[in-house]
Amino acid sequence: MTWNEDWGRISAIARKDLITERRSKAGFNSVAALGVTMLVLFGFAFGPDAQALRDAAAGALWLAILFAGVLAFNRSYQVELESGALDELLQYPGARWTIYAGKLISNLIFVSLMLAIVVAAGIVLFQIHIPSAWPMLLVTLLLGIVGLVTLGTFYAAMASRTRAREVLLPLLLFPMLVPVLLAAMSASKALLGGDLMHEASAWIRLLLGYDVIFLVAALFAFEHVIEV
Amino acid sequence: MTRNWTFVIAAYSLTWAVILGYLVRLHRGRRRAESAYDTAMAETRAGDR
Amino acid sequence: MVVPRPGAWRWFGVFAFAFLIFTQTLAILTSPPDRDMGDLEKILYVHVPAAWITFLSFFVVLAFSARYLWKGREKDDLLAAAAAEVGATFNGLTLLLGMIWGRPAWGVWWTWDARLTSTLVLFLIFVGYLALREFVDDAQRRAQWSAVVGALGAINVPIVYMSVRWWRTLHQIQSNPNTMDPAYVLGLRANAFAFLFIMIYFIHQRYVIASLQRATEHAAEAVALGGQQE
Repeated sequence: MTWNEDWGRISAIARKDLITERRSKAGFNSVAALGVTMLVLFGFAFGPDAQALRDAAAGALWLAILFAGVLAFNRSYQVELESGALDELLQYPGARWTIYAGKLISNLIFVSLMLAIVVAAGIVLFQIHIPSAWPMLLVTLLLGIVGLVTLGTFYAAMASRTRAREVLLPLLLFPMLVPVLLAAMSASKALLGGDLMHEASAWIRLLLGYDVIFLVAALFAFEHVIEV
Repeated sequence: MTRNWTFVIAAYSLTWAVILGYLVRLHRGRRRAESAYDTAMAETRAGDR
Repeated sequence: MVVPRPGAWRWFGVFAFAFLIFTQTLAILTSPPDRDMGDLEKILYVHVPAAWITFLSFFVVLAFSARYLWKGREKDDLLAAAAAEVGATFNGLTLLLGMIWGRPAWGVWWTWDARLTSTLVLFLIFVGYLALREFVDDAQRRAQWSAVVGALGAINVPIVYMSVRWWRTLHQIQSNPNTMDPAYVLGLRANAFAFLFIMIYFIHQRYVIASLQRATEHAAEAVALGGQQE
């Protein structure tokens, strides 16, 4: 019974955020364009040698997603802060973690769509051969963005309400994301190279563990963050 | 061997520079905080009268 | 809010510094030069205790943050913040001493091994924590948020260590007193205690400053409200 109510709140918040985002397409388009631009710049840094590009592809992809994602996280609270809607949202009854879960889902969808565009551009620009183990690669991408979005959505709830949000969010978020980035980059790189050492599955397990730990921690801690 | 001693001396000087530097910072901060506190308390007492 | 005033703590500070000078002299004079590293091993008496203190202070931050989230007392928040600042100072010192050690011992200032890299990441987490405190003006909000950030950061440290270790495994086996010559053990332990006393003294001093500042703010608020004190 209560689960149904909680789910109702979660999906209402997620739907609201996605509708706001769709109506102002400018946000998504420019963030995705930024991701692709970053890839082009990484191409200048590592290219034009085809083999060097392929070696650097996994790292470049994840950094592009990271930098573009950071912009998305602050945005997801921005609209509500400007109109004072967050305070009103907190007036409604119900558990606080549902607000976080709703925003998590909308950010996850937002970043996944962006990821699709950036990965498509990356395959072309970095001359990637799609490996036969592509389902594993898909799992890596998914687990990687879950980790990214879990902490990104959580820290943005604080950073977006401070004086220096542009610098504070990356400063808090990037050191925390070191395990996600290492695991996601290493797994992607191994899979793109054919996973000769069979190391990808260990990295994927690390990603999974990280996601679960911080998802649970964030759901519990969100109440302390949003109420003050 | 003498080259190693340069590094040893560098390490110990750095340690003491950091520890003493932080100590000085703390002492200055404490003096400033105390005088600010005393001023604030004097104002509250003046307000009471 | 009770404002602590100096007393026995001053003598504790004097004792801590005297003890540090004593243990360092002892360690430098008594330790024989290492077979492989020569006199370089003397750097260990400052580098290893500094590293221990760094990790210990992060545990202190975690403990006070958790207690703040549980009980909500301002004192715990200020103590956590004091421990974070002292920890960041020792963390920076550890990194620099590690470089001074690494250059003659390994031939490089820096290498991406697990302990070095996770100490660096820990430093960045400390910096983020202190920056957050700097940028949030409301006292209660600052306390709540930094407690959460401190707790999450502490959870992350072992995960960072593990992931960097998988990423690059080329470091030597961790040295601990059991595998070392007993001649070094005493010096290392004594110096670790000296650093511990210094850390406690620093954290207390930093805490006193923070609580004086909070008390000043409370007094200013009281004046603004028309001199109504409790």
